Amino acid sequence: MKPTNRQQSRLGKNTWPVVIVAVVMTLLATAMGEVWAQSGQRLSQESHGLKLRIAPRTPDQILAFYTARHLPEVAVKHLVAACLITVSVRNRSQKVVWLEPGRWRFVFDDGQSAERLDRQYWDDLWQQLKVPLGSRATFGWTQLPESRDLQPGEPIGGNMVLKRTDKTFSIEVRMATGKDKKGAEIVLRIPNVKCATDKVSS
Amino acid sequence: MRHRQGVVVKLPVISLVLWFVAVSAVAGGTPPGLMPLDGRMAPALKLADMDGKTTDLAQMRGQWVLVHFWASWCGPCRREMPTLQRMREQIPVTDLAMVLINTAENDEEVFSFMGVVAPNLESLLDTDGQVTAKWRPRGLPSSFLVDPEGRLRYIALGGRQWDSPAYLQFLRHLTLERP
Repeated sequence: MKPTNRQQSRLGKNTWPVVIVAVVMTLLATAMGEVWAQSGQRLSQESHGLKLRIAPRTPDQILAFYTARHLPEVAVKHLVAACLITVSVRNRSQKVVWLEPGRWRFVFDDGQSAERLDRQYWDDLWQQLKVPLGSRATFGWTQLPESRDLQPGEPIGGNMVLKRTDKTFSIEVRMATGKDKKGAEIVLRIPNVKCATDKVSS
Repeated sequence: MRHRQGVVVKLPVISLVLWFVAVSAVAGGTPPGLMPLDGRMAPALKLADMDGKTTDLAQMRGQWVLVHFWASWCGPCRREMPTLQRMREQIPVTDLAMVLINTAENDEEVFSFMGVVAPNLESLLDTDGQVTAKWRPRGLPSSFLVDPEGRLRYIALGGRQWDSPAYLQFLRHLTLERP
């Protein structure tokens, strides 16, 4: 059944406030310099000349990624049990920005923090498991560096690992700026992050 | 006598000015993605290729050397390697030597990759990744330009198009510099 002209007019009237609110919110978001996007398991934020993207990886993806890079099964088993997130940052600003994941926070809704398993944790574990040096090096090159300057225009990508959790958390990224780290600090926040799980087929 | 003294004083000044102009010309033309380094000595680099032939960076003094770290699993490495091969075809090895180092893979992986991606290039093998770690690249791929005195002069930020006009022109100017 087709709507009458009057009904069409009413529908149009009801839609206007929604459209206006949407436009205003879009303009506000743009004015704040923050554009949010969520597509599947990829989350991104662009602000202060930085583009930050994250993608939590499923256990199957972790298994495929590190098996293809010839990490021993015993090592891959530990990685699959953790929460691995691929991170990419591109510095589109004109200043030096510092990537220091040790200063990032992974905050649950109750204010508690998720635990990040840093390079030292993995180095110790690989030592204990007698993982060959070549595999340790390969693993290291797939990780985000613990401290690195990002020059203007420079991209960087890598994985970071957290202790697996079922809870939702936000990632609070803090980055110092300037060659001597004395510039204004940049803070980006990505909410509603979850460790990825494999889809269970029915 | 006074005239000879004047010449003696002026020669070093003129040389200094000429050197400065030459260096400035190179620095001014640094293509995007290439960052100058502080000139510290390059770490030791002595590795063998797939045939067991050893290359020692210390034996390459007197010429510029491009030292490139890569791995077959790294996407940007796969894109960059052919540009290195094309650059190699345009800049003679006598002007710029090139040392490729595969990081932490075995000869089978290197053989499979190079045969398809850059069949005219040879790579050294850093099977345990320890030499790569000492060079502290910013990631993979990573390239350093080492001057004829064995000092680190430039680092490339990520993968670069080495056969682009800007890079070729820069490398040609750079390799005109002699110690």
